[in-house]
Amino acid sequence: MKVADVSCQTVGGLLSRWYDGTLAEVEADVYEQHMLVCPPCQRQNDKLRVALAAIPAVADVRPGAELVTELLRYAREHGSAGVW
Amino acid sequence: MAWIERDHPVAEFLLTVAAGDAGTADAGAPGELLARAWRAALAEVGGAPDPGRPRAILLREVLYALDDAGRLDTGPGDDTAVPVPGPYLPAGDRWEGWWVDDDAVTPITAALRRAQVVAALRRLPLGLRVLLVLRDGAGLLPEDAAELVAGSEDQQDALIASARVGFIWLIDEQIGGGDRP
Repeated sequence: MKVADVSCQTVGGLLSRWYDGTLAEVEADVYEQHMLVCPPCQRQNDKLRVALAAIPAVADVRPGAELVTELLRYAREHGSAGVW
Repeated sequence: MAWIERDHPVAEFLLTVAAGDAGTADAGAPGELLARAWRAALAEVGGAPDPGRPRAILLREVLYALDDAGRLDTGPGDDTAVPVPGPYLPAGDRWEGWWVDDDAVTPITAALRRAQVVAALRRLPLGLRVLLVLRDGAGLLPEDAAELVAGSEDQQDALIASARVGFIWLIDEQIGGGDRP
């Protein structure tokens, strides 16, 4: 199969599983060969990584001292302090 | 203590993106809903010999707390407007299925801010939005996420692919590059 036979649309359908590392070997080969010749798909690939990495990065609200105190008390009272 | 330090941020984030805007005053403030979720998770994890994965349990309890309080964002949302991949050249074109031009995909050039990420996520249907946070925010395994969202583990490949592609385009709108043909 020539690289030009595989469209961006087809490769785009592999993007999510590429990110998860779950493509079959033949699919991964197709994906990687397409990336070598297609700048927009390379950007889409990079964009997915950057956008998804932002989700855990912005989940950054720390627990307040009051909540921590309450939960520690709750854990002691309910005999589940060991789970900490 | 380590558990709350580790998992509170993603629990708070899930609550933020899954909660509807129109909560009633007596339905519970976000802080109380989070505390309620923590207490339920703590009781479950502490009381069972093999409770499973604490993070998945906590996130499940966040969703339960929202649902119990009538705060789960089940409104119309954008269920019919999930962005689809593309734009690609149409059928009949010699290069059918290839991007319409080399500039069709704009890169993300600056760090994304929380407000941008939240706004983009909240444009997705609730199920996809929650799935994205569970899988890509919290790092849950597909089998753990499948217990918290509609659809089987087998269906998750398609759901998470749709959520991820949609999220990319919705992020584009947030950073000003979302003018799609």
